Amino acid sequence: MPRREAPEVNAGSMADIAFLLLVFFLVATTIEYEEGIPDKMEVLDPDKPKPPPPPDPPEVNDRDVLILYANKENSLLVDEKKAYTRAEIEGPKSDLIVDMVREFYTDPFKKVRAENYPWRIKLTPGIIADSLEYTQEQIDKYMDEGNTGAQEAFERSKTKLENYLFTMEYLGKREIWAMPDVARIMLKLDDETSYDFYLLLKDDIESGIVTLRDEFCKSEWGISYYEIELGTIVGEERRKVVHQLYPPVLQDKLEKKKK
Amino acid sequence: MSKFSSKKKRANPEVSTASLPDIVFMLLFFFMVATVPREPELQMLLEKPETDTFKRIEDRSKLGFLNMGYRSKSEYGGEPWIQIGAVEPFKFANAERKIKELFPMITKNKKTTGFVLSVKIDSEVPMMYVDGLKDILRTKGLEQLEILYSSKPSGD
Repeated sequence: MPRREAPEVNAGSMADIAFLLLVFFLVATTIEYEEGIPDKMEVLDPDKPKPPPPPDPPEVNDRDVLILYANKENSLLVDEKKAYTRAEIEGPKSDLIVDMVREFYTDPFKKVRAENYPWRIKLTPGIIADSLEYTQEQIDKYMDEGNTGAQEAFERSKTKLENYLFTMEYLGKREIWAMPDVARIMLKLDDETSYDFYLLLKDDIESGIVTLRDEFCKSEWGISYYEIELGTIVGEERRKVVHQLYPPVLQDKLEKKKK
Repeated sequence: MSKFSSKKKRANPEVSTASLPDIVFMLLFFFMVATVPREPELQMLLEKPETDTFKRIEDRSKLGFLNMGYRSKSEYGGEPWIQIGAVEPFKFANAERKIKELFPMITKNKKTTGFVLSVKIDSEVPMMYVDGLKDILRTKGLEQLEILYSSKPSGD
């Protein structure tokens, strides 16, 4: 039997097909991602006992807490004094909330004492060293007593102090004015406050903080806050420094109606 | 001249097509890997709020989804409906039981580290339902720690 030659298929149109597929991909592929405002939630475990409150809780002054109350008519009451309507806040050129946040944070390198905003606390390497020593003593003491709540509270403040020390060294500063631990922007909400008004406020406050961080990054490193490369050592260090100077302070709370 | 005129009809040089199946399979595999199952259609009205700042999550294997909105405009401001996946929406009153029941479906095939629950909530929903939802999600048994209030970037 004579060996038959394999019939060959004309492949000249393969390139056409490939291009067709390429074009299809280019048109049809969408990079899908999800965008939104993150919120951390702590899982409540009813079996876990609540840690006892730490001893001598820090003093909270009125000026340390900025209370924003969003009521059911979707207007905003600031520190129970000034009221703004939603239109005033939402206006395209309105920097109302952003300015409020800016004043609230004041300058971490200067002594600024405004009546309505938290007074920053002076920190120098010497002061931090003393505080660290005291904190360590307290940690040891509560560890012996078995008071885990208090021990954890002091361990948190120890980390904080160490971070401040790191920030100072990183920036080559001799002193920093630290935000008091109790400083909060408290966003209070009514049952009937609409969800989009809540997100609008959360968003504006976040914008305010990001603006401040951004300005700092630009003056210090010549890059914007968004250009900090996360995952690299330099990037992570810079991020740590910026977050130390402008810590997140937002807390939201729903005013439960009395039933 | 005869040299030129007696030109024989030359056969086209043939391109080997032996690699065609390889290419087709390669494309097939690419499709199989890269294709993301489409989000089930929403059986409700849901208009997300707009925000300027946002966190973007590109890795869909970390994401779970939950939707809260209304089935008609006349319901605005009242009790919302919740939809998870392609399951028929249910009223908020049944949320606690239903979410517990459906939660394994949300987290199925998802990475456990860095899991984020993206909640799409309609602008008109009053905060008490948002807070109620958070309370349900906070209870024991549902272990996710981070939620994302899904929003769309504002136009200006």
